[in-house]
Parts: sequence; C-alpha cells; structure tokens
Amino acid sequence: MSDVYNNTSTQGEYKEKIKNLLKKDRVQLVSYASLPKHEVRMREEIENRREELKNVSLQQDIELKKKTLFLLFRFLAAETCIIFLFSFFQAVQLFGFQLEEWSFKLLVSATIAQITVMLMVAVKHLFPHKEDNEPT
Amino acid sequence: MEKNAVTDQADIVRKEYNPDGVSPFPYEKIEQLRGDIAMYAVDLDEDLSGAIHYEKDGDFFTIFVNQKKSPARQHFTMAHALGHYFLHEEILKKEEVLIDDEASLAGNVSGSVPSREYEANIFAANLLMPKELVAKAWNELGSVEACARIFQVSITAMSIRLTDLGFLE
Repeated sequence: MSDVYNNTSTQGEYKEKIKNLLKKDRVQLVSYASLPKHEVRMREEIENRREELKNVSLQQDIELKKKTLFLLFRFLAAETCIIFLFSFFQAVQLFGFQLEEWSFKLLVSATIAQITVMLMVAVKHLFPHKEDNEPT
Repeated sequence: MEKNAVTDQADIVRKEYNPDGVSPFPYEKIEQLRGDIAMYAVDLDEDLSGAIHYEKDGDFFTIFVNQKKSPARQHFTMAHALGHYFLHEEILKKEEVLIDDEASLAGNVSGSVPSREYEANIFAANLLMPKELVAKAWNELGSVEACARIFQVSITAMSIRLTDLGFLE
C-alpha cells in the first residue's frame, strides 16, 4: 500500500487541496472533455492494425525475396563467366590451358545442370503457385 | 462487493455510454447525460493521479485528473474515479473526497490496496478494455504494446488486463 494511504496527515492535506480547487470559480477550471484526444472505434482499429501487420509482413517477404534473388543471380552470373573463360581458354589453348575432353564436357554439363536446378528451386520457392500455398 | 458484480456494473455503464466501442471512453457523455458530475483536468502533486469530490450542497460530484500525467494514465484515472462514482456513492458521500495515487491505481490484487480501490480498478479495466475486444485484439495482434495503443492505456495496465483474462502468465 502506498505511503499516501498509510499517512493520514498526507491524505488530509491532499483532501484539503482538492477542496480548495473547488473554491475557485468552475469557469477557471479546464474541462476534461475539452482536452485534445485521438478518438478511434476499437473494433475498426483492431482490423486496421491487423491489415497493417499483414502488409508489413508481405513487404518484408518481398524484400527478402529480392535480396535472395539478387545474390543468386550474382552467383550464377559469376559461374557463367568462369565457364565462359574456361571455354575460351580451351578453344584458344592460351598459356597451355588444355583440359581433357571428357573433363571439359563434364564441367560444362555439370555447371549447366547446376544453374538449371538452382533456377528451378528459386522459382519454385520464391514464386510458389497459388495451389502450393493453399492449405491441404 | 463481488468481482462479478463490479464487472457487470462496468458492462452496464459501457453499453449505456459507449455503445460504439470508442476509445478513449467518451466521459463527456456521462457528464452530459447524468448532470450530477463534472470532470476537470488540473495540476496536482506528483504523487496524485486524481481525486473525486462530493459536494453536499447541490448533491454534486467532481472528478479531478492530474494533467501532468500521461494521457493513458489520465484515461485510467478517470475510469477509476468513475468506478468510485458508480460503485461507492455511500462511501464518497461520507468521506467527501477520495484520493487516487499511483499505488491505488496499480492495485489489481485483492488486499494489496483498500477493497474500494481494488473494485474501482476492476471497474476501470472493464470499462476501458472490454473482455471480448481484448480477446479479439490479442488474437489478431499478439502484442501488448499494440493492444495498449488501441485501448489507449499504459502497457502496464494492458499487461495486467491480459494477465487477468488469462492471455498472459
């Protein structure tokens, strides 16, 4: 329990102060109703906040997808460039660069397969079909 | 007074004066429709959140709210004072002034403050944070802060209400 409640003299003092407030003309007092306030209908406000949360969540989802795709395309572009360089060196045999034919074919095929699979996975998971999202 | 009786009284007041579920509670409607009560925002000591006064001459009640406090605190203080007005008329008429400080407004456990303060807090919580709307807000938003913003009460008051309704431990 607070000190105010335990201390009867303090209580008495406060009560006197309150009574003194009423000795003033009431016109001088500020009506509580006149204070500025932000009035909302609670039920509508709950709905609005829920929509806001949903939109924020969607926005975050889109941002994350953008970042992931950006990183993925950078990685795939780098990989494609490396394979292109390998092919170039293989073709012109610059600085004695010469891979065995089966190794070169394996490298190119594996890289194409990897890029294809990565793109398929990205498309499937980052842009799922509506049916995939629906609860079963 | 039984807790259920206090809750029921708060529900009656809420349905009568705030049928549209507006936040903050439209206190001015009580002022206008009842005619025996006035509400003022004044500067009080730091210890005090508000007070309710009864004037024998004219059989009139006056609520004072400390305008130095935050708006959320002011709303709860006002609802608490209305709790005294609706529930403790006899006590009020006998004592003339009931003072509300920080501790009396925080007492949500029976025995932690005088029973009238506990009852006024239960009344205020039900008036400002109706059970069905709190349940809806909590289920939809799941955040104490977001709920407190909707009901325009402090995070502490919202937490106490959510705990009381069993949504928080």
